[in-house]
Amino acid sequence: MQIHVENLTKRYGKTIAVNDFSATFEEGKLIALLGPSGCGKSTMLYMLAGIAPVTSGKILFDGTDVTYLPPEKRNVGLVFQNYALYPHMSVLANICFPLEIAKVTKKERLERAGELAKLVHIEDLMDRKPNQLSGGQQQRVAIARALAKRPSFLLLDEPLSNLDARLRLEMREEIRRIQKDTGVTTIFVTHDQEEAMSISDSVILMKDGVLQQYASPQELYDEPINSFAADFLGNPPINKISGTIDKGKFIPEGTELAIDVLKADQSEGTHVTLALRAESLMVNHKSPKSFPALVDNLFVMGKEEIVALRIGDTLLRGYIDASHKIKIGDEVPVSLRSRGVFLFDSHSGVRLQ
Amino acid sequence: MTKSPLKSLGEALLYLSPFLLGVIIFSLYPVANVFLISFKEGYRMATGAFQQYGLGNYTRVLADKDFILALKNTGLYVLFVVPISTALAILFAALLNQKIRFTGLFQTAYFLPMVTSGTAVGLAWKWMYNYDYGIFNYLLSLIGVSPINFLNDVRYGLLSLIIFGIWSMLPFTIILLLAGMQNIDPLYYTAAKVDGAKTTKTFFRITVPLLAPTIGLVLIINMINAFKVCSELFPLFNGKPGVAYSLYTVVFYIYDEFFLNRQLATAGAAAVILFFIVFVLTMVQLFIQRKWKHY
Repeated sequence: MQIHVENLTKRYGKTIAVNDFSATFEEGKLIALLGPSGCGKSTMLYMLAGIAPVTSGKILFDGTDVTYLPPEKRNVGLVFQNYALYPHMSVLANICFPLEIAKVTKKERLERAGELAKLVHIEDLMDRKPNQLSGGQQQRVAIARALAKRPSFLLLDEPLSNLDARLRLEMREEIRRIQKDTGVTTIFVTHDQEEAMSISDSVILMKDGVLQQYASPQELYDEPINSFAADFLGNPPINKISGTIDKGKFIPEGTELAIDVLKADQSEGTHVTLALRAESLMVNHKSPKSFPALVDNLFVMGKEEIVALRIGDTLLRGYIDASHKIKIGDEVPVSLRSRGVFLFDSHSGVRLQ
Repeated sequence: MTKSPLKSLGEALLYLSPFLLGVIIFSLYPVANVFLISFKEGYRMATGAFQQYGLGNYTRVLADKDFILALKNTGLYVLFVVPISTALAILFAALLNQKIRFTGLFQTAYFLPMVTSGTAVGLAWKWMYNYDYGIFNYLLSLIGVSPINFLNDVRYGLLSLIIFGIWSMLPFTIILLLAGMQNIDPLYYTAAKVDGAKTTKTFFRITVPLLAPTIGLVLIINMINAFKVCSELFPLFNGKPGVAYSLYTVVFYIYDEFFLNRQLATAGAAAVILFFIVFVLTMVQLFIQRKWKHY
């Protein structure tokens, strides 16, 4: 099912949780709602599920207005952050509960539960109670329960946040696999950029209730629309140097350097931020456009090392091959690749280049 | 510096001694004494003299038709009052747990009886049960039922007592159940809503099972309390166990045996019998509940 939301707004008293949100969620895709805590992404999910009433705007499922429909009439599957499995029911009963409500015959219920158990790999756990399951198993049961009614789409609220690191990796691949196997349109909420980037078809980046960018993970990484998007994605975090434009060059604050990075004319004297992905720095690499930087620190990471460079008062992180010969305190030339180099207006955060 | 376990136990006992002393003097000793006296045949209260140890008091009590009547009355009282008042309390607690206006007002109204003196409430009920002027007979007259002599007719005495008992058991039960309900994570209700469950379904499939531990606790407390029914009789029936002594309850029987008949030993035997009935039923209930517990 295709979901379309138009100018969706949610207010809690004076706070605006979601602000004028418009987007289309394509059928059969896995879409991540990504953003920092309190950005309104969970509220967005609850509005889609029908749990949180909408303040204004519209929600359309395949063109039908469902803005004011109660959750049970929307045919959505929702997986809660802490799963909310009914503690007094067995795994089987949990999965069957939505079907029981829908007055599906017992035979069909058991059949469907069997199918789902197979899909999420919990065949051996059907008689257990939720408190006898691990976090990952509970997650699987919650997904099975959410899928029982063959929902038009599946919503997952922070599906991996309650799991330990190893399980998290496993479950995120599982979510991807289950989504692929069932083909159900899936929207999941996360504050973890890696999670969003690794499994989703597209990512919606939100901040303060406002949609920032809606793009594929790669595009989001390669072409951030503003400095927030550039900041939020990537590990290690993107390097940022503030400075001004002077005679067609970038002058880092508090330095005499003039870095030649501009691809087009920018107005003179504007306060700008140069953002550089760590992998865009070629450390100890001389070229006509290279600039000097001071080696501040070195961190061993195995085959590569992370080097902290100082330009004026700013520290930059870049990668360097472990076979280098540089020492802390050296001055090294740094060149930039063309990918992963962005220029933002310091004040508005708008991308200039 | 480590103390020997014996020494630290002594110290703990020393700190506890004021409380322990009270418990020993006012609870443990009397209980043990009642047990002991109940086996003393021909016991004289004034001198403490007795003929021999034996089961004579028990055979006497069990042969007393007043005691059998008391057992029957108490049994019926428990049988009706405990399930009905618990069921009603679940219903009221569920209603009080809703997000409605004036919740505070309703809660106060329901809990008020708890802080009111039992005698005062009993007198109010006596008035409501009044043959000529009582509100019950007035209401019955509205639907064309001829007045009932609630308190002075042997046939209705127990019914009147049971209705009053159900009512007086409600507030405390509601408080406990409401506390239990408020401990249920609202998330389960949201989940049930998404699963499509309506109010009734949610109540029976989510609320009640999740409340089971509290319901079990409430049933046991109420059962024990209902077995001790006695003081409810005083205001309603002028300090008598109903019209023509038809409403003897076990505790009332013990009371009369002791204070009126000065038969400490038979009163003790009756008390021990009551204790065993309550004890066995509580055990049975705990056993059932262990199987009943879902998580």
